[in-house]
Amino acid sequence: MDDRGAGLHDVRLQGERPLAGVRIADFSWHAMGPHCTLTLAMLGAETINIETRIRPNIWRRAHPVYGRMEPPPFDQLAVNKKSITLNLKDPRAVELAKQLITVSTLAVENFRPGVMDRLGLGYEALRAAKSDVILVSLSAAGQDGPESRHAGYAPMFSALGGLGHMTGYEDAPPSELRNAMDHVGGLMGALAAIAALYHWRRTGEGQHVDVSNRDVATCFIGETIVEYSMNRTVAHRSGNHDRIMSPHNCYPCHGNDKWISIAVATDAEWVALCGVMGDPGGLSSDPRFADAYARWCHREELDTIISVWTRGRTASDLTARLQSVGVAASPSFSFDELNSDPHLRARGALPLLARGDGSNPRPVVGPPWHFSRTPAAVDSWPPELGADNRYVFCELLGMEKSDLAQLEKDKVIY
Amino acid sequence: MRDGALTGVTVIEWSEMVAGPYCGKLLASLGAEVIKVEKPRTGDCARWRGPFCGDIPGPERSALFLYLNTGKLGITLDPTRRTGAELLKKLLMGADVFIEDRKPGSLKAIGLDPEVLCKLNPRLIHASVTPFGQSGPYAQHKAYDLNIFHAGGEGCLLPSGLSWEMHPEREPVKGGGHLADYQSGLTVSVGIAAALLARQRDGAGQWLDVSKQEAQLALNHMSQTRFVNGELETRALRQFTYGGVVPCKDGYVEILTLEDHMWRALVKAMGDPEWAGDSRFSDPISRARHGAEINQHLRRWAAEYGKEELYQMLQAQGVPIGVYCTSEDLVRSRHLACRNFLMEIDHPEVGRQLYPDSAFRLPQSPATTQRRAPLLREHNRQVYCERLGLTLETVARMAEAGIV
Repeated sequence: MDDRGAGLHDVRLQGERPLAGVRIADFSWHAMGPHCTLTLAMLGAETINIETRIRPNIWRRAHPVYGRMEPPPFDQLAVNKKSITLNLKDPRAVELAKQLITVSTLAVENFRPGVMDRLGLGYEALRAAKSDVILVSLSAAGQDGPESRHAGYAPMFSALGGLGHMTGYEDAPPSELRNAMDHVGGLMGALAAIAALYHWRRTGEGQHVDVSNRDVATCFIGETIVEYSMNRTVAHRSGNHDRIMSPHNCYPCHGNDKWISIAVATDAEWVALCGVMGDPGGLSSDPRFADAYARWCHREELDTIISVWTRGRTASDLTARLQSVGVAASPSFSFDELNSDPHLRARGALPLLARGDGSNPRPVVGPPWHFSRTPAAVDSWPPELGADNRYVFCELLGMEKSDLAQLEKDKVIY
Repeated sequence: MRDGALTGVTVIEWSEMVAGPYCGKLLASLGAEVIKVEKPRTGDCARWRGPFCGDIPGPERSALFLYLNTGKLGITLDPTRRTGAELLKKLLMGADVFIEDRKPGSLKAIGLDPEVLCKLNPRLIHASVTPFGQSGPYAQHKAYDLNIFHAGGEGCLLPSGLSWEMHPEREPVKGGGHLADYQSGLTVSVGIAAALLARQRDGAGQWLDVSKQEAQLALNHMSQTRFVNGELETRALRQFTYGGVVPCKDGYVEILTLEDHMWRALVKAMGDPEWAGDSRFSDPISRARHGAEINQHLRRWAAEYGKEELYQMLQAQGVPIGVYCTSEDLVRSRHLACRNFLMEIDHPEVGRQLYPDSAFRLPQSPATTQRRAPLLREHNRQVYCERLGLTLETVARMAEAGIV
């Protein structure tokens, strides 16, 4: 029990972060679940990721379909986390997982619905181990319903949720949305998890939280459902265009594949844009572009005129000039540009993260909230597989070191 | 009916369009009481954005506004006027959360800067959501959803899939609808929920600065990892080597076989065609090298079928496939019907319409999204008279002065 106490003390050392004192048994893998626990870990929860050598997590493997022949040596999904190994096909490992539940506040998983039950780790089994457990289950399509056990990845969630249909050029196929779709599902899961924690602190009640990633995609185009319901009109993708704003697009700039986004809502913004352009051919008094509706009707001609002007100019110069007169504009930033961007630098948005020994510092994406009192942070390098076996099994769960060695040899802690 | 997780939490939301209002909607769905503050006379400008019910414009008829403001009370108030600012202060004294999307620095000009609010109500959680955050060289920059999406790292990587293959020279595109703003609103709600949890521990509120740009960036950390590893992602480098967006008879599907067993299941579902037996397609690395050829075969095969037919056929074999659903497909989905995901909400002006429910289920503290969006100034009397104790006459005079 002394060891267990020491473990909790470590948690307290994480200081004032909003989720300090919360411990997560993290069964998640791939991307949606891990982004959920990454979010909670940045907010200060001690996150113990349960992995196995038998089926390594996707960021520890090569994936040729992505055109990636090497496993990425580092993935931000695993920062701030601890790693233990458990071969959950072995009943002894399942027992250890349940023991971990008894010293955790929250469990997170994103297997296909039914898998946790099959492993003997379903909600009822976890509740038997800890009566007030909070289990957050993230999945493609929710825990029930005819399609709940379907296979899927982020692009399917966005497709099935209707967001894919709404993304892409008007006159071309829909576009895939990739890992950000997984992550936003995880972020929605983090909101639900914190709400469940808030409820638990008030009432002492746990619960089984069900988050559906395709429903997240639908929530983000909810107005098109209401539109269909009202008018029987099926909304369609429209590239960068807006319902009424124009210009509202990306325009080519100097350099290879460099673009600037420009959006104009009001006549004042339009006149300001014409001013920066030097009012070629009396653009500001051209009746085709005299008001928002006229501009929208002639948006393709307008896009051509603006493209002629932007081509050959740099996106950053144009942005500065347009912003100085109140026109909304920004480069379509690539990651090399984001990494050297003075604004993000000034805000500390891409902090350096070094290994535990201080070596190999590299910029990572910081938390998206600047709290005045309980800061979130990215502060520990992704763990090696099983790096925290000793801490978790011996210190938290009170296992003898010799037993740990034996269970490792038996491929239970594996 | 059971309480929601945030029942008892009062939120004042002074924001327009999508990001702040979506954050308020999420908190309302968790049981918080959300009082939406709108401009006198015209209200949230989303009220004037289409599509409108029956294509008849009007402040109570916008699908966008009606969807984003379910579960809230609505009042009109102009806090940029002296009397309005004092009224807002009164409301904030009794509130737990304040969401606002004002330009950085503009709250100070009306005496409502974070330091003042913190003294006024030390328990208040004040969340500011702006395009580029409160500090840094772009803090005063203007940006709409389009600009934010492209400033956040994902813009230059879209479109992805077949669309890019067909148009590699065209401009990058944003996510559909108001994606950047929805993502920002969700991000803010997570920060607020975390601050509420911290306050549960120690009783103190705080100020939360969220940059919409950083909210996008935080969802694209995989591209950051790759960049740091020496591989700068572009639309061209980011494509799946085979599968992805596949056209069929009546639309599009998405097919991905990331694991070997999925590929074998796909081959089986296609009826073990002769081409698939070629040794070039026998292992994942070789398949990746010959992805274009696989796509030719796959697209020829899929063109014979409808999207729903392909979906059922391939999922039955364990092949990851999804349909590119339209809003109509979603309304007709049996899966969503079984989960009661789309619900009817009645409204005095547009009647009973379908709305998506919450994307999460909290059985012990159920999400509540069934309350319709407020009519413009619907709750002025309830909030100003019953809560702040003003007389009807005072409120009427303030309305004449353009304050409420």
